[in-house]
Amino acid sequence: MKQHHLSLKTKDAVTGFLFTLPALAGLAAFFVVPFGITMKMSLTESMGSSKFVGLKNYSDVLKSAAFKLAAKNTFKFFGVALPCILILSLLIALLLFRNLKKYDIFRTFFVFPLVLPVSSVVLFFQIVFSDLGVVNGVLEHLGMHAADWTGEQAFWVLLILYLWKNTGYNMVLFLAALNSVPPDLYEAASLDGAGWWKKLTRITLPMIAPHTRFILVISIVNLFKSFREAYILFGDHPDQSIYMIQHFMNNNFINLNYIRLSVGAALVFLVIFALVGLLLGLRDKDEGGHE
Amino acid sequence: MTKRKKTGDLVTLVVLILMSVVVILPVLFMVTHSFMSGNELTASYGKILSSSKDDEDDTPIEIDAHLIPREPSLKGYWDVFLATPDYLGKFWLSLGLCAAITAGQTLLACLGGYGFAKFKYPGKNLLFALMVLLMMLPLQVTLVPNYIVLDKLNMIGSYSAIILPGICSAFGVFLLTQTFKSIPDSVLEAARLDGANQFKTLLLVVIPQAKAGIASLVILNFIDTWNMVEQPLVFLKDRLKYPLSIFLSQIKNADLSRAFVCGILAMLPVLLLFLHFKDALMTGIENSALK
Amino acid sequence: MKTRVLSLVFTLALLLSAFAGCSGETEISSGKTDNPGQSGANDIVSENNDPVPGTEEIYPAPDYSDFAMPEETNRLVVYIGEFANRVMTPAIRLFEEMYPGVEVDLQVTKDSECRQKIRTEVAAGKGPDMFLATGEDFPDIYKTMSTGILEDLNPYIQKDNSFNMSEYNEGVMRGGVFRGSRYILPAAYQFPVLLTSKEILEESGIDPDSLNTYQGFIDACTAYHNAKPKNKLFQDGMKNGYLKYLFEYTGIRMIDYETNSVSFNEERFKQFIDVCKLYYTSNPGQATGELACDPLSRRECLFGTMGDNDIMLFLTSYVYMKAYELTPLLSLVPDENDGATAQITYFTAIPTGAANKLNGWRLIKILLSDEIQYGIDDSKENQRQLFPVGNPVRNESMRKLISYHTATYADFVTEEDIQMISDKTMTITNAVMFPTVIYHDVEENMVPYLSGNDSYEKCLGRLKNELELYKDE
Repeated sequence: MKQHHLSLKTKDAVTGFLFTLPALAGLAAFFVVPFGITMKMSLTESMGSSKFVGLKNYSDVLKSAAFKLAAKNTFKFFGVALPCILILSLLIALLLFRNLKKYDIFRTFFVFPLVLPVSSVVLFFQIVFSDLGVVNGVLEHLGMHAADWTGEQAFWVLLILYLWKNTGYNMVLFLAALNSVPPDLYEAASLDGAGWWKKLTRITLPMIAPHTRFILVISIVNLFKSFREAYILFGDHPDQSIYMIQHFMNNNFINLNYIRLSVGAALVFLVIFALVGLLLGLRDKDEGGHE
Repeated sequence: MTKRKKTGDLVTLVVLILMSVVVILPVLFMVTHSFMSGNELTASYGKILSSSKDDEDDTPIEIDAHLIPREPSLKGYWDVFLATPDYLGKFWLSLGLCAAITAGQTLLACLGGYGFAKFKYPGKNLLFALMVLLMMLPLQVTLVPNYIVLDKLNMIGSYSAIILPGICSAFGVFLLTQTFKSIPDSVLEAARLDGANQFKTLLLVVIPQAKAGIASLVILNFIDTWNMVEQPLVFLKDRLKYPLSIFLSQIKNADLSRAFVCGILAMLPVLLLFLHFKDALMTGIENSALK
Repeated sequence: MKTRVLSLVFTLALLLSAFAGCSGETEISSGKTDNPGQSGANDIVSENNDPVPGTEEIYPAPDYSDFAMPEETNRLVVYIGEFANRVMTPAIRLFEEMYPGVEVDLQVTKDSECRQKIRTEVAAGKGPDMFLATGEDFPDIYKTMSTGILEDLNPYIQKDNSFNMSEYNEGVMRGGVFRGSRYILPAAYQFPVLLTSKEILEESGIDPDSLNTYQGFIDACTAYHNAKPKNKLFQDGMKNGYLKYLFEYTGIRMIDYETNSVSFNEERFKQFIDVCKLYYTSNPGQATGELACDPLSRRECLFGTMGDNDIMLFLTSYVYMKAYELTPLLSLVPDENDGATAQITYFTAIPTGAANKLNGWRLIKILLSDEIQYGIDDSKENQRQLFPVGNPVRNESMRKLISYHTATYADFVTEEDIQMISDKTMTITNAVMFPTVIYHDVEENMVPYLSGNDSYEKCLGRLKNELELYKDE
């Protein structure tokens, strides 16, 4: 005898799919298809012909000294910036969380950097960090040597810029994460005589782990976006210390070498894929197949 | 116990104040300088911005950075508002664009987020991972292929070339999926037992619970679209159609007074939006202290 | 679980491709399919296809026998920046007269906006049908040429009888040849000259004729310093970027784009750097803003340069020197092959993806026609040192410019002077359009040696390193 209606599980699945359909359709049209085009371009010979040359372009790019430098610097920058911002914004969120009503004004302050437009931020940083700028002036006054902030120290300028701009962003997200921890857990721990360190490491951190993964992804997205300021401040061919994959891609774009640009893009995608795969893989383990 | 809490509170306050000063300094800088006259600005900063340090030049660096205007003047504002006739027009244009994109994305994100957070269907995790991956790709990668796609759809030159890809950005779905996940299933069960269908559940139960997440999405999305420069530049044909962000990004440092004023004006709508939604951001976050 | 496996697979793929990159011979990426069988000699030798002097011909000219001119279409899309539009407007008018059936879509944009848009559109296979561009639009034209995105114009020239290469400055036109194909046709160029006087040279025992060879030029600079240790080389000191200018004039190619390697004549380069070093420490000096003739007449320096000034201002100096009773001498900076290298300022090209190539080609011909070439330097307010590539109009064009300055010196510039300058332009052997990044790199890395803070080898090593990185991008 046939069932009169679909099982609840299947009905649910279909509904779920339908809910996500608009987002997926948009994704397909404006992200999947374009990326497919990029991948295809990365396998062609040159802009003038559409001969398929397989992985030759990839080996060319991977052998390039510029690409290797860019990759190294990008990993280095990400490796430093991401832990810094996560720790910093978590710290601030923890501080604010102690008494949200009282510290509310600070929360507004921390969001200010987000609303300032890029051109203004750049102007400010130029005034502060240029050769004759404020920082060098102070250093000289204190008897120290003025530094070349567009040279080797550019790394730190970029880092400070990124941290300054995005800490507020992450802080807001961390606050929401902290809020999701049920307060009775803390009360129970207090009754057991646990101090703040134990509470932090045994309750807070594990509980906000899924949120943290999420915030990490967002931070990576913002890190990519932060290169806009880097271009304006340091130009197309900056000092070797901050030459990153974005510069590689952008300069090839300027020289109309889209093939090379696509290869770079595909490689970036692969790396992100590996990272995200690892992150989500870990999540699966944590939540024990809750999905 | 109370004494420790008091010192803890004091330390927290000090740290927060210090950090806030660092964070809002650039903004304060912009605000005060927008009221300075052009002459004062060139006198203080002209040299910093235009020349570089000569290694053998021993003249000490003079900094003349100050916060209080010595020659207060509203001329900057006059110049931008009234001397540039299309400024206000561009302002409302940008506002309209951003509102459209933000509204669209929020809608898409609510639907998609609900589907991804609360339903199961085969391949869901894979699609979600793909979506996150593609969201992380930097702009250079997507610009050219997006152009190709939009051109095939005949949308180049019209505002839909900017609005549609903006709506379909995966960021919103990602954010709201995370937010909806933290809404306990019990609430949904309750709604279902009351006989509500999925749409009603989403509308009347889930969304009110997720006000904080949705408010974050609206603010962040608005910020992103308000500052968007590359996409309108490339996808629109008519210069008269360019939104405000492009106009702002083209103000050179040569005209300092204008640069500062425009920075402030660009900041205002976003700031107002944030202040408006500020409380929504905190709904659900209880005033529980960690200790 | 599934996502994890997939991520592992992709990480492996990434690693494998990295290994693929490490092994295998270094291939020179070329944008053309060529016959590696042909070695050395070029079968189709046209006088304008000469290889760059001093470089080996390893890219034989392709086979054009089955080339057909593109089809007729009835559209022409052109983008142009505001400044270059003064040249484009009359050209478009001419085009519309000659080809009434073609709809011309001319878009004038603010220069910097234009670029991002054009780049995206060209990548997508849309965009303009031809370019009239400068070095700002294409920061590294050689890299662009090697991507295959520009059309090879040689077959067009061969098949089209109305276009005659001999009417154009041979040396400058050579600058458009790259790896055996011709991707750009220069439309205007800049011609760096130095001003000096017979008297100044004689005073220091320098034979004016020796300035025609690179070695002679170097020797002259050194001799001058020995004779007059306190004097400067140029009217402004060697600082303020004059290293860059002089380097540009010598046309030393730091990167050999044809073979895609960092290789240059190191001996000549060292000679050049050492001359700069002589003058860098002895008399740095600041920019004075004076005309070249004034310090020259005071015998404070050997050469007056153009720097950023336009040729007409330079001509002013030339003329004024006669008033100081000096015999002015315009000297070329010989390039490393003892010829003279010009700098291409405007050029034309056609993207391979263009929809209306034939019309694009027609517009190029018009831009290179006498009528437009006559007016290419035609801007009273905004004078640039542009020389037209069209040979027939060079004298007239100069006369026209001079006529704008009737009050200043039109009466002092004789026909002989005009002819002299005109003849000098015919001695150009090559033309380049190097990215400014290279000049910056040279200056940045060599200044420590010039100021005595570091050794030559170390500076050269750093410079080579940066050039390698740049080349590899």
